[in-house]
Amino acid sequence: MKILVCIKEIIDPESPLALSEDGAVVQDKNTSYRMNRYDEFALEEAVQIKERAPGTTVTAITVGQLRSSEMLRRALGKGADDAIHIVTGTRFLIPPKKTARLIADYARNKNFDLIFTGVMSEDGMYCQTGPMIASMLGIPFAVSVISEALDHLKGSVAVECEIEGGIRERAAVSLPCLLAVQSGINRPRYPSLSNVLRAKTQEITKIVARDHELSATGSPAGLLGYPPQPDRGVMLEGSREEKAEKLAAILHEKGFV
Amino acid sequence: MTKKLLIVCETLDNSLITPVQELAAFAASCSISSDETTVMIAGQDVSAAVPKAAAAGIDVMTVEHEALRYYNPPALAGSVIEVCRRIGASRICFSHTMQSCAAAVIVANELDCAIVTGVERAGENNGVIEFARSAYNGKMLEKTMFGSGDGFVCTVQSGSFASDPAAPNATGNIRKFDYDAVSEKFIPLGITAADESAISLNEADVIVAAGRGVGKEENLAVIYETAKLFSNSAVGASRIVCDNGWLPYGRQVGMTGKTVSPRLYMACGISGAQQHLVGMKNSQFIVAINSDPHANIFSTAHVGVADDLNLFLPVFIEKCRGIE
Repeated sequence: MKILVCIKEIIDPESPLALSEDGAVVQDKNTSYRMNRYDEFALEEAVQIKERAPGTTVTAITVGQLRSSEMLRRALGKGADDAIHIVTGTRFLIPPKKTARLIADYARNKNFDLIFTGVMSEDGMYCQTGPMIASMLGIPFAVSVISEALDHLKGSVAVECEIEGGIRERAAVSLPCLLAVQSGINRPRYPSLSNVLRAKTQEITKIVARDHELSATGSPAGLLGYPPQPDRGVMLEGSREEKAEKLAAILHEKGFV
Repeated sequence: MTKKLLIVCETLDNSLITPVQELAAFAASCSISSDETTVMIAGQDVSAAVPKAAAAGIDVMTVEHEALRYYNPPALAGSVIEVCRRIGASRICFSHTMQSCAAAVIVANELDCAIVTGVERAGENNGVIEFARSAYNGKMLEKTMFGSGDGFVCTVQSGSFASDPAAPNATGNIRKFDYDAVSEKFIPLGITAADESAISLNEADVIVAAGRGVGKEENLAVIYETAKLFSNSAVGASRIVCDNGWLPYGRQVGMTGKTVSPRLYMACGISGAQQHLVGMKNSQFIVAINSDPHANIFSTAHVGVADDLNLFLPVFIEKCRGIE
């Protein structure tokens, strides 16, 4: 079985975030990065399938700037067999349609049985890339997947998808297909020492994205700005004792306590 | 140059899920009038949903098929594309749920048109339509512009557009549309109901919700202790708390979890990711406690306390008991 896992490097949400004059996200020595959390679950699900079905290969792919190779090494450390890096410029928030096009073009005719993505990225929160890749490849997909079980005889995957209000939908999806996984589907592992050592020297296949593939025709380029400061809300000041007393007084006045 | 808008409504097991009045309000805020708008309702049997959806004199198109009883993004997308061709709509609007969003992506790809997901604000100025959505956990706003003749697909974040209470309750024309091109590659089999704890969240007057800032499972005790201060209270959680197995998913507030609007919502150690905010921002009174003074949750809170909840809440509990 051949599995492709799409992962993305994001700016750590805890990291400071600012815009330059031309509206790009500032990246400097204070910026820290990590793998999109939802993609960690996608990768783990693929590696677990490999462990159950010997002969399975797991390929990790990313669309990102040069530095994203480090994240791919981490994916190798967690059990991916090989890694593909589609190298872009340094601008963040590439329109999802472009990311999807680059990955779909790579994956076409390579006979992947399963493609995994996270349900969304934590930075853009578009929820588009996974289903877009599947649509471009003309294969079925499921989103918000919280459990999956392969049925090789039927050539399908039985999935449970989280929908609103904690309700789950059960569905059967024919192979080959794409699954956009929800967090909590598994417990992502830490990289193993033997894999980390292998990853250090393993070659990562690099493909340079051409400029026109990243420009914004047909897919709107969003302009980033700071949100207006909402006028509601007061921050309580003072010592911990004072703040606690103020909050208790406010909630008392409103009749809650 | 056509600029008709199709509002897509989904049903789940014959109940209307999509907040159609909110989507009509969204259309109005882009200066798209109701006579340029059609509401489409898809499902197995949409007869119960039609009266709710047929609002403000907007024409309604119904699509009924066995395969649409549960969420079926490819079948929904296929029928949306057919309906668009029939009525000549080039702008399509869905609700921003995981399943509607998936269908929206298929439609955008098939029709090769632009897509914006999670729209929170919309406006029109001299024929230019501007959409804004959150990115980077609400730290940034991403804007997209469309000209007066442009087509687009969008999904609208629930709770972002207030429905107009003065809208006339006139029913538009109701037409039936036959659709039968259902793929066998995605087959919905049924749904599993949410567990009991999700129901108790809906009925609570006060929700004390725990986030990543709780630190470890044992520290939930102080959250429960805080909840006990209030009558008819319940404990909620952000997604990561459920992912860590500290609380069941039935306690999750936010996208794919519960949408709640209690009289009081206390967000404890919750950073304020957009997926969480959509589930609680309409609470009547919001208190946020977070050790990071720049946490996004404070932009939604009425009262904020920048402090470590594990140190602050015990003092707060003591003060409340002092009042009694």
